Formats: sequence, C-alpha cells, structure tokens
Amino acid sequence: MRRTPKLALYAGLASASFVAALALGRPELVGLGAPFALVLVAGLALAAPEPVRAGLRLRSDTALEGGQVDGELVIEGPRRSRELQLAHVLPPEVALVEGAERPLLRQGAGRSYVIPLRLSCSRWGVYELGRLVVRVRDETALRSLDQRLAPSSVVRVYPRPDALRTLVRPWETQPFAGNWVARTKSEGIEFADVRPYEPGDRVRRVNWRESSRRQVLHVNQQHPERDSDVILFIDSFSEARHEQGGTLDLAVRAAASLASHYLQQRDRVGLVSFGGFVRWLVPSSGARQAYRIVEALLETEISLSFAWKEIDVLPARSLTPQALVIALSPLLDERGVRALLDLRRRGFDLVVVELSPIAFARRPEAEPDLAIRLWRLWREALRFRYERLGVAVVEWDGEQPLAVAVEEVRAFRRFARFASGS
Amino acid sequence: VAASAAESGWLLRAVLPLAVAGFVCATGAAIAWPALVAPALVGLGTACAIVEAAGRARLGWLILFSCLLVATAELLLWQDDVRQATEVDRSVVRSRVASLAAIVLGAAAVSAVSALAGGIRFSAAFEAALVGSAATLVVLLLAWLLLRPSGSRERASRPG
Repeated sequence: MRRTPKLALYAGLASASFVAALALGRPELVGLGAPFALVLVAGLALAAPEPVRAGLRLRSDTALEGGQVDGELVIEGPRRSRELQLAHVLPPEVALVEGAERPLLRQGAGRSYVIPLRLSCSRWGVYELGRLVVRVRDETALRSLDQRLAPSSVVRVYPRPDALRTLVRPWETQPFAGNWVARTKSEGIEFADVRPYEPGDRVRRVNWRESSRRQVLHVNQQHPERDSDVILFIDSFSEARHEQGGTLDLAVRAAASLASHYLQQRDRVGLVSFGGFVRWLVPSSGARQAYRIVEALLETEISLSFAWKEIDVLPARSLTPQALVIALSPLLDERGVRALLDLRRRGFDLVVVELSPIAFARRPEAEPDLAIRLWRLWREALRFRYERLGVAVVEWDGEQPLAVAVEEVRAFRRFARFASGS
Repeated sequence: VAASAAESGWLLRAVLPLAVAGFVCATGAAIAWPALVAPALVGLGTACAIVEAAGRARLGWLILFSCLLVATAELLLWQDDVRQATEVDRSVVRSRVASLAAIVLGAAAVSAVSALAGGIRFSAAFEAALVGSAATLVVLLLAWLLLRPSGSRERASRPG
C-alpha cells in the first residue's frame, strides 16, 4: 500500500495555511486549510484498501488464428465497497475486442463484479491471459494499493489451415490400406495390367476378352490403395521476421494445413522440428495425431544455438523408410540446408517448401539494391543444388495460397526423374 | 512583517497574477497535465490567503474560498483518474459526486466553525444567501428524487 500524491498535497496545503495563520495572526487562514485537514483526518480514519482477488474465465481454451474467445473477468466481492482501476496486460498477439481495457469501477461490499470480455487472437501460440494491474483506493483516494495479478487462464490458438484441393503424392506407399494408388500391382480398384493366369488366381479376375484373343487365360492386375508416411520437417534454426510475422509463422501455417489434409487422406503424419532444440513426433494417423501435431506446432520456436547438428541426432523411427519428407525451411541456416541434402542422399523422397525470407527482409534505401540481387542469386544457386538431386523446391511467401505451392511441386515431380542421392 | 506587508497593499497586487496563474495551471491540469494540480492549488490558495490575511474577506467569502479550493482540488485529482481510464462506471460517478458533496459540506462547516472561533461574524447578506442556496439545494434534491427513472436502481445494482 502506498500514499497517493493527494495525501502529500493536502497535508502540505493544510499545514501551510495553519503556519501562515499563526505567523500572521489571522484566524481566517485556518478556515482555508481546515477543509484539507478534515479530508486527511476522515480519509485516514477510514479503512485501508484491501487486496483484490480476480480471475478470468474463458468459455473455450482453444481458438483458431484470427478467431475470438469470449470470457468474463470475475472480481471477488470485498468486505467494504471500493473503487478499482483495472488494466489488462495482454500479449501483443491478443487484443481486446469487447470490454474496456482500463475500466474504473466501483464494487459494492460482498458483491462480485463480472466484466464480459471478448478477445481476438491474431497469431497462433499458447497465451496466458488474465494478467491484470489493479489499483484499489480508499474512499478519499489518499491511499492506494497496486497489485499485479498473475494469469488465470491459458488459451491455445491453433494455426488456421489453408484449403488444399490436392496434395503432393508420395513416390512410395506403405503396406497399409489408404487412399493413394500404389505403384505396385496387387488387388485394388485401379486397373494396372494383364498377365497370364496362374494357379490360385480368382476366376472373377479373369479378363475374358484378352483370354479369348490370346487363347490363354489372362487375369487383370490392379494397383492397390495404400497409405503413406509423411514427415513434416520444420527448420527452426533461424527465421526472418518483421512486426507482422515471420518465416516460422509460415512454416507453422503450412505444417498445420498439410498435416490436417494428409491425415484426412488417412496417411500417417509425423513431425520433426530441427533447430536449436530437436523435437519429433513419430508418424501416426487419426484425429488424435492431428491434435498432437498442432500442440507440438504451438511449442515450435526459434532457439538460438551454435552447436552443429546433423540428421543423425534424430531417432530412426521419426524418419520412417519410404516416407515423403516435406521440408518447410527458409534455407537460411547452413545446418538446415545440409540436413536436407543429407536426407535426400539417404534416399528420402524430399520436397522443400522454401519460406521466402526475402519478403521479410528490410529493403535497402539506396538503389540499386545490389545486396538483395546477390542474395537472390545465391538462393537460386542453392535451389539448383536441390533440383539437381531431384528435389522439388518451391518458394512460398504466404501471400499466395499454399495450394499454388503444392501445385508447383506436383508439376515438378510429374516431369522429374527419381535420381539417386549421390 | 508578513502581516504588515499584507495590509500595506503591495502584496495585494500579487493576488490577481497568482489567481490567473493558478487558474491557468488548473486548466492545464484538467486538460492534459496532471502535474500542474499542485501549482494550481498553491497559486489559488495563496491568492485566497493573501486576500484573507489582508482582512478584506468576510466570513461568507472565506467559506466560499475554502469550499471552492477543496472542490477544485478534488475535481482536478478525479479528472486525472478518469483520464487514465477507458471506461468509467456510472456508480463511480455517483459515489464521487456524493463524496464531493460531503467534502464541500464538511469544508463549509469546518471553515465556518474555525472562523467563528476566531471571532469573525456573519453579515446579514451572507446569511440570506446561505439560506437561499440551501433551500435551492433541497428543492433540487426533492425534484431529482421524485423524477428519477425507476430503472436507475436496477442499473446501479447490475454488476455482480
């Protein structure tokens, strides 16, 4: 509890008038200072302000990026009526849409006060809410009690997935049933080929037209429907960033979109965050895995580290054989660049979505922007290194839909040959 | 020395500049600069004190000065609180008005008692003015009590 400037001011005025009255021998001056003394005496005789207990209750502890969360701030009833000044301390990514940011209110004795609030969340992440700065004054505002209330709620803001009509088709599929048409021949729906009848083949698979033409029994072969393993590989060594966002935001958005769509496709999706801290999620399928991935994405952050890391630090089961690895990287850190090249050389089916850091770079004032042009050239050379290994590299700046980048990858892979990783 | 200076008249010439300076500071404090509250009160209070020390103020003026000064101080300090807030609850306004009225009434009583104790007496005109003001206040209070909307009680008890 502290004394407000009002107390010092009133005490000064009252004492100055009393001293002046004594010095000048004028009783009128006592009358001038007496009201201030009266306020002081009355105010200090009244009860001191008591601490506040308040908490934020949210209707939902999850929200989508750009969405809103409703809640209410509940201030517990005091023993005596009091006046409160509140200030919400919100993270920069969360804004108050409805409800006053710094209300001045009066609370009756024993009655709790409820303030309805609506918050909008502009960026994905986990945010602690309910942090408040409260000032309670006594009835005459001579003493005040300033408090910092700890956060009482947590909201998880999930990245908003982009709409994707098509996905990058993996080169190889896994042995389990899924929605991808496998390259192998077996039982399925899509017609693949015909071959001579062998003992054990089912009669319903006999191609009678072909058999009659060749006078030997032939049976149809189909491509089976299989699932695939998709690893979302996030390069979190470094990022390019400005006030509105950064390459890590793009990576998380893209990863959330791709994970959600591949999981809908009944594929197994895993996650690797390769950076200062290495985190991974073993590939799995289903709605539970979708939540696991989103939760892991919320914890993704850039951790500054100078330690050299190679792909060997990852456990083998996090990078399953024949998996499609979709790397989301700004290609800024040499460790991330080398790790992707290493993955390709180990035979992984690799796609690189280059999260363009150029959009987040500060433009030089002077023309010509030689540094930017050199940087672009260097990046093109880097892309060419990947393309020589048969890796599709597509630039995505977040402005255009992710579907465009996916379509570019599909176009590249349609004409690319599967090169050996040498 | 101070008493003779106050009575001789040269200190009285400082009353107007002090009052103007106090008024300007009070305006500045009310608009944007809360740090000017103290200079405003010091300026206005010193001007009042000089007038009273020179023996030019009667009891009525003395009470009026006291009430105005304390009311000005309360309003300027309240203005600073209101400026910091983005929304002010209606019950805060009611309670502040009530406490301001109580402080002004208390100030009037205290200054009157202290002046009477000092041997200063009322003039007839002031008494008439005082009775008239009190009567007007009571009539206005009655009118407000009778004419206020019935929903105001519910609104006052809505939070919580």
